[in-house]
Amino acid sequence: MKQFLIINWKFPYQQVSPFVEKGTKNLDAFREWLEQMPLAIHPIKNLSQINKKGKEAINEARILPTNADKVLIPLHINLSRFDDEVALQQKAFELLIDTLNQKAAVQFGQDEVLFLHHKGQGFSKLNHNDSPFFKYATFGGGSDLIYSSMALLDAYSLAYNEAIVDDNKKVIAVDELHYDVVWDDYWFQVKSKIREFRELLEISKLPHMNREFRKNLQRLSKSLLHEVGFLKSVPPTYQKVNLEHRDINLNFYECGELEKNFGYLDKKLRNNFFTELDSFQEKASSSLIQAVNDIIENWRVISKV
Amino acid sequence: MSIAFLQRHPDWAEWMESFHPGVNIFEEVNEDLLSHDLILIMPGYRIEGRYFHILSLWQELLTNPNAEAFAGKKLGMIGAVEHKSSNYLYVDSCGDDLRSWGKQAKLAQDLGRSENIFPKMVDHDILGPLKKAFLSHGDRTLHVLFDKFLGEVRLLEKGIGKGEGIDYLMKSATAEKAHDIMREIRTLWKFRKDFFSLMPHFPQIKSRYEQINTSWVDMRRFNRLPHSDLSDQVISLVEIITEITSIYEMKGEKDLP
Repeated sequence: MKQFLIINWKFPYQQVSPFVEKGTKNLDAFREWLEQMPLAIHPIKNLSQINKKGKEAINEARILPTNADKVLIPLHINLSRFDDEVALQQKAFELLIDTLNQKAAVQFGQDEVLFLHHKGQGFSKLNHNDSPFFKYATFGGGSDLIYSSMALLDAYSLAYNEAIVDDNKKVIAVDELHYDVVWDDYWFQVKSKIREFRELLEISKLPHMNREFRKNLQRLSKSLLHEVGFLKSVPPTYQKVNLEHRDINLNFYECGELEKNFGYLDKKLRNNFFTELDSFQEKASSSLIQAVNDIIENWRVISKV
Repeated sequence: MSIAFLQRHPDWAEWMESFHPGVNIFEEVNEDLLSHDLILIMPGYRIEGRYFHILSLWQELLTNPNAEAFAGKKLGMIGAVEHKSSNYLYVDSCGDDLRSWGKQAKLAQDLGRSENIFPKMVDHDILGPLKKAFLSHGDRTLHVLFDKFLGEVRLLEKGIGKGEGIDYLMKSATAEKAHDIMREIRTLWKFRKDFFSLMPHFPQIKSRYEQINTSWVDMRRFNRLPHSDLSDQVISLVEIITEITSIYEMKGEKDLP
């Protein structure tokens, strides 16, 4: 069984503020801080966690030719505020990459690391001969916002697969299609479930499908009800997160920007959805599909912000 | 009145087959589907676990006065959300006779691009990813790859024109480079085929792509020259891609997933 090891190394903006203040030239302090930083790991032991396309790619063994485990480090970093001097920025960047490389090697015994970065800035100037097992990939488009969501899990694995395709290339563009803006791992599940649920609902509307699907749908709606129980309680917890006391494996929505940018589901939509879900147990109606559509539409709109 | 139904889910196909046997069902767009009077699409299509709507993709073409081949065609949609309009078929209340319903439906040109004619599309617009796969994403797009391929092919054809043997040319670095590009094209095609196959232009692109592929295999493996110049074949494909992207220019960018 192949194992992907995704290291979510996020630049914690609050902690790093002394180093990213404009005009900072203190590289030593930066190095010290870097060395103290733990790497949050998110190992994917079970391939079912990788999405369908990733699985297909692995099954075909066309994209992943070796059996070696891989390390992937998505970089959420912007050193442009480090200093106005480009050379110093580059130095800080090299320091960062070196440290992460070493950490990955020491902590996980990996000698092949893939870095993901939004624009790939800084990488092109690095000397690749010094670290032969070092690769990087860039996302086309995208924004810092996108990186603040760890639910890019499938995107990362896909990007990783894509990056492996062309071994000779140093820069490989990864299609925007390979990631989606989601709030966190949990929301990612709920979102995909809601869409699948809608598909089943649509099928249940077909005249001869009603009986067959009713049982499954009831079961599914119960599970969905359980899943989206989160929606009912609506804790915008990420506002109150204390970084120090959080499990490093679950640092998905610690970014304060998320709440600001994505908000959470509108109360009206949510309540409507639950009302329709309850009444659906008695009668399959298209108003539930409409309620699901409203949620999806809302999701789409807010994720565009 | 002939009706074609473009779908991606077996349950929908099964239902249509058993209740409306006169309707022809397709999983991807082909010449046969395009020859029907009424083309029924669905509000959303599942591709790689995501959902996309193809309405703008079809509406743009069918309502385009320059697209003469599609004049007199009708565009219908079938869905499970209630909506009253002449070209929308609500599954719960659709009768037995789809043909008579189809006759009442409006022509695509008359339909225009009014937003209310179909229910609101809640999924991503497929135009965004399509445009990206065609021409706007780095150096791994169909357009750029075929352009590169064309450059190499022209070099090879120049050699042939000078009287160099094809078996000799096919061992050259140029041929190797062309083959590498072709491999990239095949990978891209494979990954994006699910998107491409929902396009009204898919049959044209597919036939040309397959022609190029076969010609290249003939040249490389059997040292056989194709009937028409390979560069001409590539140019005709690139022209189609340019035409398609000009139809959909600047559309769908806001709806990128």
